[in-house]
Amino acid sequence: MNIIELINNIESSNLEEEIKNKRILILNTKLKKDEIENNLKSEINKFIIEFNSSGLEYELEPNLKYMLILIKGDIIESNFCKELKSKNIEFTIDELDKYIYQAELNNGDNLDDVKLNIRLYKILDKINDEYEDLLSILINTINIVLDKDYEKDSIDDFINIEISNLLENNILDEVTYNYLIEFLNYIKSNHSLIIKFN
Amino acid sequence: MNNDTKNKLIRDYAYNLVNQMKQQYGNIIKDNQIDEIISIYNNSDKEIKEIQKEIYDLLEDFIRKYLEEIQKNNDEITKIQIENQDQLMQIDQQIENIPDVSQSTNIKKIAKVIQMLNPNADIRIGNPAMMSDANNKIFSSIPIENIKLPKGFEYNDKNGITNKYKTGSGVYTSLEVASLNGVNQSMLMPKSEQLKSSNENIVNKETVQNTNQQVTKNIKSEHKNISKVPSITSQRKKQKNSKKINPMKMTNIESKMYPLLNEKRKTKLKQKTQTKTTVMTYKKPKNPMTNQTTSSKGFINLIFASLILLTIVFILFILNK
Repeated sequence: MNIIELINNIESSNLEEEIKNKRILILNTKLKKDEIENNLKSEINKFIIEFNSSGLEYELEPNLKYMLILIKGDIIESNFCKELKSKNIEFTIDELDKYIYQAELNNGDNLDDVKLNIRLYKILDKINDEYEDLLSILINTINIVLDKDYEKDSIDDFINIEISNLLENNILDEVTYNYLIEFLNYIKSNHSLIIKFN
Repeated sequence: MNNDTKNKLIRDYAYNLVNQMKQQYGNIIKDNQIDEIISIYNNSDKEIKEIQKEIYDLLEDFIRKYLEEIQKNNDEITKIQIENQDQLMQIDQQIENIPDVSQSTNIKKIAKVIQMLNPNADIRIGNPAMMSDANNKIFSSIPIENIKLPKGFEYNDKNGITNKYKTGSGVYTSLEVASLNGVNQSMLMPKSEQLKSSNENIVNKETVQNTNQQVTKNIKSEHKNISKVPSITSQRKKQKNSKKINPMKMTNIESKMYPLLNEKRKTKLKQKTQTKTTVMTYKKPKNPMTNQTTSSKGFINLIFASLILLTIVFILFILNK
């Protein structure tokens, strides 16, 4: 039975509204998690292709977060950005694009290296955002189901006992219990360190 | 008393009476109307007192009818005012119940208002868990031309239903409108889910007037209405919003990590270059006698050995024959 069928079954069951909603929320979260993970995979592949065809000689930093810092640093430490900084000009990544365009148009500067780093940074930043969204969704679902207010860093081992209690009290069934544990493990594993370029 | 004196007395009496009436009721009788009355009694044979009484009765009757007419008109005006007031109250109530979403980018709220404005249509939104563009699309059972839009919104082919250029913050929404026909129900948000927030508002209004016990009851029922749709935490929402506005800067940790990562990258690059050079210059050692690599010599020897073996086998075969 797939998740959609499970949701339909729960919808049409005689379960209490609160239990129904909790189980459906977990199943919808699982669907969302799978969707985001698939997106992440394809976005990471897109980044690898972009990086390999960029002509940059160094190797990819296997950890996505570290790679993001590296590229961000390369942008901020570039001569162009240092010049902006010396003029007390602050910029978002999109504003930086405009400054570069103006500099190329008005002064004939060649800023291809900065533009390349911006392009790579945007792809990586999008991946990182999507990943952070996924973590946030999982934490939010756990909080709603447990009626708690956990943060990413405040999740402790007691949470496993709380989730087990939900199963014992028939608030969750086996499937939704396993999915909730899956979400918990995903968060606890500090997955950001695991997202790697294969 | 001659007729002229009598006529004058009647005229004076009538005008005095009318002037008194005018003071009390305003200019309700015109001069030509008074003259008409006076003319009835011109050169009359009746006693002056009798004439005065008739004029008085006539004017009194006139005033009574006038007042009755006024009252009737007032009643009519009051009735119309009451009816209008009912209508105005109904309109006010409708306006009060329809939330102002002109500045909103929340598709749920906007869709809910569109549904309220178009009770004959079925307005639905997609399930974000099932549809990647659910936040930018609404589904309607009637064509867009017939949809009444909320205040501050318009429809155009480029942006769909939009409040572009009409929001104070500049942040606007654009909603594509799709037909509801043939759309799988599982792809859409349940109708009850869409309208839940409006019901909650009503509950919230009621709880203000209710007793503590009822408030507790409402809180409990609200607790049961857990969202079935996964969403990010409010903290994450704030984080994302601030990221859009804040300038690009390295955080403390990033500032510390960047030099280390940069160093690591340089070292790796250096190692890579060295390895590359070694590989390019590497040559297999040659046999000083034959000036050939050992491996190629071995290969030739093997071919020679095979040829000799083949020749022997061939000779043996011929001898046997």
